[in-house]
Amino acid sequence: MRELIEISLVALIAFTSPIVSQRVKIPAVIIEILAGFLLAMVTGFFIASEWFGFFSTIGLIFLMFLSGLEIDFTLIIRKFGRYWKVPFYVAVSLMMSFLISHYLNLSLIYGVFLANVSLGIVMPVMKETGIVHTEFGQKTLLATFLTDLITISLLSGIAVSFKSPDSLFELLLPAMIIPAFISAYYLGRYLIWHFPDFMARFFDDPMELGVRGSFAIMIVFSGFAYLLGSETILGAFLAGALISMIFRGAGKLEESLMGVGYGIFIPFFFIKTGVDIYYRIPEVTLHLPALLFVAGIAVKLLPSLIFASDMEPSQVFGFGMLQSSKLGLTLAGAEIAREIGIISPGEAVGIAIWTVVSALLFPVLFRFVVRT
Amino acid sequence: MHIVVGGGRVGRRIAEMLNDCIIVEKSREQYESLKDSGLNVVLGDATQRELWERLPVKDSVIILATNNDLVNLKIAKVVRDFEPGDMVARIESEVYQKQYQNLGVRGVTCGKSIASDLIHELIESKRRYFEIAVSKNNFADVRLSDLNVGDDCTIILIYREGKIFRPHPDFILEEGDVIGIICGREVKKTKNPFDEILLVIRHPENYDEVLKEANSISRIVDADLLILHKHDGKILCSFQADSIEEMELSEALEILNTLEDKVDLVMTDPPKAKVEFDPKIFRKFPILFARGKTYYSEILAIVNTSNPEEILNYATSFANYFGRCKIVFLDSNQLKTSSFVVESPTVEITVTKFNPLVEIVREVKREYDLLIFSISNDIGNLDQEFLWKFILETRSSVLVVR
Repeated sequence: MRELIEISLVALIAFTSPIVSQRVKIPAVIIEILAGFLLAMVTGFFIASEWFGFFSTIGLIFLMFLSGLEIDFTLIIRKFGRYWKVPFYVAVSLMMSFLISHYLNLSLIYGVFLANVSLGIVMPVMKETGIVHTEFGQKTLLATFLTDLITISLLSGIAVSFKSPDSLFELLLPAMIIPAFISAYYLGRYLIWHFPDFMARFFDDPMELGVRGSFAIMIVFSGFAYLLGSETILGAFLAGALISMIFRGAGKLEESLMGVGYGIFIPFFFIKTGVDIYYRIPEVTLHLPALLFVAGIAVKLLPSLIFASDMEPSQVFGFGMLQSSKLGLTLAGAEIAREIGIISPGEAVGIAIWTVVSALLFPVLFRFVVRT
Repeated sequence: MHIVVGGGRVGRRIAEMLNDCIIVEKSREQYESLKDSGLNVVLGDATQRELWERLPVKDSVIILATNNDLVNLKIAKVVRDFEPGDMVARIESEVYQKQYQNLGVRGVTCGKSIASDLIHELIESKRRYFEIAVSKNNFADVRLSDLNVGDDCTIILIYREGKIFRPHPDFILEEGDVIGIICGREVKKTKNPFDEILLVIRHPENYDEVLKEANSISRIVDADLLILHKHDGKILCSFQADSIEEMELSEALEILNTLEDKVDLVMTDPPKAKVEFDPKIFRKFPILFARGKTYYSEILAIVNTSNPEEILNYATSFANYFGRCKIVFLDSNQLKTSSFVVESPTVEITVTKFNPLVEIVREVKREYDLLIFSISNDIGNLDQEFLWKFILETRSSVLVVR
């Protein structure tokens, strides 16, 4: 009976969170985390059961898959040289993140958390303010895509190296996923050229061949990564990136997969994050989120001064603010780091609190700056 | 400065529309009448050099508005030596059109009532669209195919009793109709895109095929064809090539770099493998990689650029000369922001629906006779690898524009 109530409540939150999100103008993800927190607080029995944990893991994998899928490689290729200050900005921001982590005696993985930025926040805010196609908008997107790509790769690398393999073979084995990725990429491009009618069915097919195919690729890569001793989330991310690279943007297919991911599986992960925050509150000190908050602004705002000669001061400030926003990937990274023991459960909750605050605060600040 | 030759009805109307204008008039009676109207008139014979020596001809626009083509042509020959900025004429008979062209005179061949408007458009190139009411005094009962509005203008629609009709060559104008005309330099490209075609032969084994295509195209679009080839270790430019040697790409590019404004189209054989072209070459002129086609029955234009005018001009032009052209926009926003008007009954416009890369590859595989795309490639998700595949691995001729 209790499990039935749990299932019903989770389904209800997943269904209603976008509606509430639209009303209160807060990302649906934040609503889900807060709802998870409230559920645990009100019901008292909402401790992760087996099925909840299972769906949450699938949600996490799907989140990473969609993170790879969202990366616009066409934009990166086209604008990388033209907006050369953006890659420079990303590099400086990354260096600062790792230096600050080192200076504060934090684990290396904090460098990734500090550098990370949420495309899930940046994109909707850009669309809402109508600046996606401006030069400022394109620079912001390029910085976000690049940062996403690099931080996820670093996250996976750190996670793999932390497992302290017994032999060199075990250390190098996870790297086998890279040739698999490259082979799959060329196979996909070969298929587009030689069988375009078949590949078009990925996007335009009543049997949703594209969604099925994407699922298959995600499962294969996640499983392959696991078998090679790497993280399943790296496999999922590469699967998403693979589809985005082969098709140079997944377009309509991305919409379908977003619907499946954010409509079914991913809410489980965020609701569980809210539940975890509630149960780990005793382990949390406000010191860590506050420290991360200040450091997070510093590593994004200071390097954005690179653009001082190209942008208005308000745009430079807005750029830095928006790049400071965190969400899904930071939460996913914290969960992975906690699972393999790089950080403690209390630290994971501290990171989650910092993430929620940044997701709420920075988009508001950005909108204010852009409007004024 | 504008200098109008001939102060008749057309000349007077043009002068009234322009601010800085001198009229050259031969008849004293007409001269007095124009002067009384407050116009700036010079009395004299425009076929005489002495007259032009007194006038500020250099960089001015000369408007030949006499009603005699032979006189106009004679004046054009004289004035040409004084380096005017532009010469425009009202042409009485189409027989002389080619001679006007050879002298660098742009012109219109139509009734007096709209000639002045059209010439004004040619000079000013500001007002792109205007309308003319059809009456018994001008074009009532005239077939559209008989109404030549010049190279720089085109009829895009006809209003009749509140309805809009597309211009068809057999459409017969009636009193009360209103003709919608657009003018501009880009219109010329859709009507007469190439005057000079340069055929660059790099590989002797491809010569016959490429020459076959170049001959067909130059004949159909009425362009002059020159052949750039290597013979006895020298690069030659001639009307025909008897023997041909292998030419390095760098040698060809060196010559092409010096040919700005002298060639409208470069035709060549496709390279054997991907080569690094300097994109500046494509900014000078379009390059057509020929596959030996003699006619383009099916044309595919891929609008992979944020400045689609060039592609649309060539697509419309080829559609007018040859067969059916399918223009594919890669992003629906291009249609919202583009002000260009494509006017051809054989052009079909579509927008990709789900993934431009896959959809365009699917189209390209349908073996069109001619593919057109832009080197800038800043719209859509096509990458250089696939654009090269279109050139190297299909049987289609490929026109690459800037």
